[in-house]
Amino acid sequence: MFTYQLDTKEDMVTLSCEGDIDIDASEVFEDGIQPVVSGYSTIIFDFEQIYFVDSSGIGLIIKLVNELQEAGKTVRIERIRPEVMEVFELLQIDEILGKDTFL
Amino acid sequence: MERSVVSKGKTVLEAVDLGLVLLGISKESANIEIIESESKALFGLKSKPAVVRITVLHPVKTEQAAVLQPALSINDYIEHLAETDLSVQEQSRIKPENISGNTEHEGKAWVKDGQIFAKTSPNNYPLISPVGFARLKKNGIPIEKTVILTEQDKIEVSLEEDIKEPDWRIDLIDADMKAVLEVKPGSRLERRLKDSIPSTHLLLEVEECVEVLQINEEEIHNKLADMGVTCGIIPEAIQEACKAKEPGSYVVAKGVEPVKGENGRFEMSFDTMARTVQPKKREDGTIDYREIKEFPAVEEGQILGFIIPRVPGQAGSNVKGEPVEPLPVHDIVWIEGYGTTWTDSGSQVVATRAGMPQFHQQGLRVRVSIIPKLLHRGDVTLESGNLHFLGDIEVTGSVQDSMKVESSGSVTIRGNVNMANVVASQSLIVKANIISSKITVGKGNLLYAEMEPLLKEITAKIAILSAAIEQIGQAAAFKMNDFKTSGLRPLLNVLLRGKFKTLADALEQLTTKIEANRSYLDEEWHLYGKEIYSGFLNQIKSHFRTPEDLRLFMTKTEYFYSLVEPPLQNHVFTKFDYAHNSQIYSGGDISIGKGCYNSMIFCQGTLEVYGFVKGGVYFAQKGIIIREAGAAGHATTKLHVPEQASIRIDKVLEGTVVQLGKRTHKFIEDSSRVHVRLNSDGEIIIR
Repeated sequence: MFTYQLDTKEDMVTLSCEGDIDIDASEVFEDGIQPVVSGYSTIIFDFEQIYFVDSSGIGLIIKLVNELQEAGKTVRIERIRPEVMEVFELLQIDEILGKDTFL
Repeated sequence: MERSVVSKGKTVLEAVDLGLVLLGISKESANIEIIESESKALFGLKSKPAVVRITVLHPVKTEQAAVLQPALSINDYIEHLAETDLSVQEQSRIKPENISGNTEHEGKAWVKDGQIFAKTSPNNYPLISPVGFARLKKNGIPIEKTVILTEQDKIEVSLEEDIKEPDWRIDLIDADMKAVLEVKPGSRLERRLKDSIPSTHLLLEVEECVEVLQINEEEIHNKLADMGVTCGIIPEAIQEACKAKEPGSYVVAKGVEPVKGENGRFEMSFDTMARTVQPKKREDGTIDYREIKEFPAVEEGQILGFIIPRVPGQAGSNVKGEPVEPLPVHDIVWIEGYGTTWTDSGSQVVATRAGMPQFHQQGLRVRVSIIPKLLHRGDVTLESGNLHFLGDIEVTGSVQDSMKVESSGSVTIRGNVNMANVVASQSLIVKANIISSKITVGKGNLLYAEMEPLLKEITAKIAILSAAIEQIGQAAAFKMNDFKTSGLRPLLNVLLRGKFKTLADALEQLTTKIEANRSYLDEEWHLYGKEIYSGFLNQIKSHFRTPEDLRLFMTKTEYFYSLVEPPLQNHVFTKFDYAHNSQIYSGGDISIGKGCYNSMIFCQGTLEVYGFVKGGVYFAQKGIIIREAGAAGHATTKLHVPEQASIRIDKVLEGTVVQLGKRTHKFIEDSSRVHVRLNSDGEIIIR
């Protein structure tokens, strides 16, 4: 089950994510997050409470981040747990999303 | 007989004791006469010993003397020490040998036959000193410093022996086909006392003698039996190993090697039937079509060849008596070809239509096809239209302005090719001239050459991809439950965008190539291209559901790679008399009967010109042989080969340029019989 909380500050929004990012999270990602964050210029994803991902979930992240980046927004993913980072590194997500996303 | 000694001592008492010991008698049976009393050393004057003469009163029984001996040891000369438990190797009783006569032994000790002998004289005692290599005991007391010897002393000599037990081991090697015995022979180093000449101070010397300890053959046999070695034992080798003086290894049992079998073969038979057509078979099994004037043809119902079944090998056995199977041998597998059929037993292939036989063998797969032939009588003109045919084409006339002839097989044109375009997947023969035309021959070969690096890259990358997927599957935070619903698609999307971007590119290029050249490739290529698309390139879904599917795809890719992998069965060739102002590409050799003007030739094989080339650019992958090259006052003639190939020209005119790899050379004067090549330093050498 994937949920998130919003915390806004001027033109920056922080999404504190919680749960697993997997195939079941597609609705939340596609219909929920995108419209909510589109009003801000900097979007921070806090992944501290993300424990598991699957390939579909990673696809969702890539798609969302790419779209936001194309819209000229600054996107960062922060506080990734080491075991999730392992998966990201194996898949070289930083190559796809740009290394800045993970700073 | 009266026995007497004169003995000396520090004191009279000492001298008497010594005398009694020497005679082996007690005080009661002796007559003691003091010759001189001792005198003490005073103010640097030397002390004088006491001297006594002792004479035996009554003859003494030997037994009595023996009993008395231990009590008579000379305490002044020895120190009592704790008895050590020495192993007694040799014992020697000082023998009162040659006591009478032979005065040269008097006062001396010697070694004979390993025994120590001593003889005292009235004036002195022989001495013995301890030695490093042996432990000495006198009358049961270890000798720690120089002591005197008398005839009665019992000397024990303990000499140490060095024994190195033989060492050996047996290993089974070559999958139990051989038992190897490694031996390190043992030795016994024996020491014995060396005989010595009599001397007043006996210095013991030792003799060493080394004896090789042999291995008990019985033990080896037992060990072999323990290890289960029952067959092929070589007793002579065991014997030799056991007697060896130097370390070494010996094969002591050998299995029986299996006899190799032979794979099945395909043998062509159509060369025996057409006498006018005798293609030469190359050593690698392909046919050299260049040796004939015409493409070979077969009739309906003609037997094209037969399969020779495999010959299985014979099993051998290892040293344990277990059977060892020979390498498996395989039968030839035939694949249905166009225009041919196989007999029910699958041993013979028969033409079901007339045409040119084509033989393909890749590994153990054989396909024999008959290429259908389109015979076009007369010229190819606007009236007849362009010719496109899946098979061979023969044109009895010429190909005229702006016309196109395209074939998936070979093309024969009896007339000229004039401002036209000819494409042949296989070979091309033009009986007359090629003028201002574009010729492409051996397109299949060209395609294969282009696809080879792509397939190589894909094969390698897919293997890494499979491994990467497995690795990701093991990551703790990675869930795999979406594999069930979406298969590998989401994961492949991510991987092909990131880490495996080059794989995605290669797959894209390959499918494009396969699609664009569909008419030149077999159906199996088309299906493979479709699989690439639905597996990798379709962004929405993939038919790959598990890593296993990926492995199957990899196997398939390997097969296709094996098809394009060099050496190709490159029997494609191009043959014509003249070319003028034309562009010619050939996937194989080019043979030009008379000459070439201002043309551009790209040849994957060898370019051979039996006449001249005047102007133009000529590249040949495997080398160029020309009778005459260059033209005075005309456009330049450039001959180009890769650096490992060479160019031979009988007569080369001034201004001709040759290029080998990146090196070029321009002939500034006419030359003849040149052989242009690069030396080991990469410099051009001519002749």
